[in-house]
Amino acid sequence: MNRYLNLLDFTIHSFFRRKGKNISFLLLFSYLVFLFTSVLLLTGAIKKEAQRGVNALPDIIIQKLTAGRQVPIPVLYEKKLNDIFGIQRIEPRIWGYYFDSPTQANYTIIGYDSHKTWDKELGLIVNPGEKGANLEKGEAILGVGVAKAKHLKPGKQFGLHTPDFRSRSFDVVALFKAATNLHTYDVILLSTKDTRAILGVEEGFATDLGVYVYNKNETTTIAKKITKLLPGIRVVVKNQLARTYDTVYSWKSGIILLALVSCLLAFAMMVWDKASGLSAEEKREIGILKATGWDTSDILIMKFWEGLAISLPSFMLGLITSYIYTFFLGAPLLKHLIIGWSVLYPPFNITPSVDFNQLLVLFSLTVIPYIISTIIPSWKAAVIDPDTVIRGV
Amino acid sequence: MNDLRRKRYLRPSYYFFSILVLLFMIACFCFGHYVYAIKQEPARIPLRRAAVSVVGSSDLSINTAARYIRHVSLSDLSTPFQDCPGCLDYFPGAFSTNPPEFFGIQTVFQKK
Repeated sequence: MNRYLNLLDFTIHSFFRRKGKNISFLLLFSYLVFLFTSVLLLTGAIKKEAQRGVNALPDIIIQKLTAGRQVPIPVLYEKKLNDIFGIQRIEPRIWGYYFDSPTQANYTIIGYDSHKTWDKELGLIVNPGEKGANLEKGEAILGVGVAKAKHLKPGKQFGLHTPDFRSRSFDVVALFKAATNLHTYDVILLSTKDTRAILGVEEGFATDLGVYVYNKNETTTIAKKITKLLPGIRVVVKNQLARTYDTVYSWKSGIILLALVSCLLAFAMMVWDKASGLSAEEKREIGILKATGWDTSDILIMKFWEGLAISLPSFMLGLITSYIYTFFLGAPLLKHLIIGWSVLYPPFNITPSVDFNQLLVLFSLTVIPYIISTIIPSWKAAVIDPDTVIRGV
Repeated sequence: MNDLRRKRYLRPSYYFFSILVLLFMIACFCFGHYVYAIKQEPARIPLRRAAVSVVGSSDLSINTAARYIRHVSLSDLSTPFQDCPGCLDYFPGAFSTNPPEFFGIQTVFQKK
């Protein structure tokens, strides 16, 4: 044990003899790990956060397409679907977007029907909570982002325009709880009738239909039946949404990682340069050690320590700083690169999600090659006659 | 004897191990934070479920720069230029790809 500690002491002294080079290498190594891990942690957490909400969605969403664009779907389609065995219920949904020119922000307006059973949980997510499941004509519940942008609070009034430029006034009766910001930050919840008026959706039409099925294993079969029964529709199945999140965010992180590959290549070149040979000074050092009685095994152990002393703390430092940067500091800059910019930008507080397999791959791609690149050239130099090495022949 | 003991405590390897232990402790703290956050998750499920069922979509409200990127899972492929002809893309928020094909389902009706 003492022998290994002595060798480590020697390695650390040797490290400080070339401290400028070694410390810059350590910082570069940490930065590389930090960059890659931050992208992986942030996109992994966003992906997971989006997928967590999928369970509460309708099993199938039906949209109508005309000339390649989504158009309001006739509510009458509901009756056509009643013949399909296995459908629990069908809910016409009315929702859409509203651009508010004074605040230059896009809001999502959602129609809320107090009589639908699935909406009874509204009392859970609003402040004040006693509002329960009622939303009358002329009343609105706002997301925190909308309330902030328009300087509103419960009890105040605000106006929205219909497509024919008539102004409609609404009472703010409650705000969505801040804990639901990631889903409700830009939402204006109105009664179904008001939503129709503001978005210009005529009676007898809906934005889309949400279909719930009894047996979740039959979702695909029912979706196939729906596509055969209704002309010109797009059917989106719940697990397709989960896969969409996976694709969208993996694609984004993939492109960013692709841009960072240049850093990885630069690092690989440095490792390659290290593996392809030692400097004359390092070779002379090994020669002197051999001449003073060191074994080849001692030199290999010393070089192993040297590789480990740089790569392991660098990897850990990169990993820790990226975790703190992503989940404690909210990933400034990187967050904007992955998500983009908005007038309404919800406070970003997502549940950490760590894929340990990815970290293991990163460890294998950085620490292990670095240690190997330190040992191999030293082994080559250590097996040569010390006299030849010292003379530099 | 005292000098020897002091020398032993001043060995560089001990500093190295101290740094490693410190880093390991911070890593453990991060892991503890991760485990704590995961354990808190079940408490948030009813709230999230209610929010998603009321809003009708699980898409996160982090992309609100343009209408066509608000709901990434339900977006229309032709929507980007509905704002104005040839309008600028809302990059990087709009920087995305098509949803995957769902095996076995024709997403658009086609006459045979």
